Amino acid sequence: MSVDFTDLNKACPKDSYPLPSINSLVDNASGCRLLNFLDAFSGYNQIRMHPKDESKTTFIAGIVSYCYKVMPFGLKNVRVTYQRLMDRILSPMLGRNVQAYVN
Amino acid sequence: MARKCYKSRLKNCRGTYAVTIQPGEQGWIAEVDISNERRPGPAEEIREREKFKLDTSLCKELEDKIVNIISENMNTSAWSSTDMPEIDQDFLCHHLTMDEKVKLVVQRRRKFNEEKHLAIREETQKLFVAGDIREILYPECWRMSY
Repeated sequence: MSVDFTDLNKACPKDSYPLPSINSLVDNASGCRLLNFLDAFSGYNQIRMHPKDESKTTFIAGIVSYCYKVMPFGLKNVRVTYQRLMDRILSPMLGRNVQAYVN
Repeated sequence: MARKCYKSRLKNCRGTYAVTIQPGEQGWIAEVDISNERRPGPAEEIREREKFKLDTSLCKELEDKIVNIISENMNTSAWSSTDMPEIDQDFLCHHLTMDEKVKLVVQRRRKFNEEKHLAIREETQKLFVAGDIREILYPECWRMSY
């Protein structure tokens, strides 16, 4: 299930944080003898929305209105935020023995 | 795309198999089985816990080593959503930057048939239980206008 955030997304300017190119990641990893893949489990939902912005994600289901406490799918710039998180967490290892890519 | 690259790499190997680690009488027991791949959805709980995949082209020695290391460090990975502590909001949270010049719009309420309605209720309940969403209350006049 995903909420239609089209109108909200239109009102949000694009976050121009650089995303890595998949080709260079694969090229960098190609020389490695051992590869280990870790896949984040519902990764977006692990990042909290800023409390002030929670109410902007409000949606109605039946007769109840809900808002998201965590980052929902379908929202603009979420991929960038996730990449930012990965870059921050993995910064000492990134590009050396770890590559992070957000699909 | 990343998944595609991963898959195409796996094609060159003899394949992978899944390993399930379970607590046994003498430490962890690794159980090997060949299973079909399927990714769990966002709000879905992983039922088969403690499962990972190994490349079958690894030599026996290396394979044992990897299985051992993973078995010994079972607690470092999150195997289900309940294992995952939240990311500290001070470390990172998602802000919405809004363009001040944008005009407010009223989004039309979408109508769903009975079947979809039930599915929506089920899904929102899942999200609610997981703590991903919360109910938001507006003044009564607002609610009445729906």
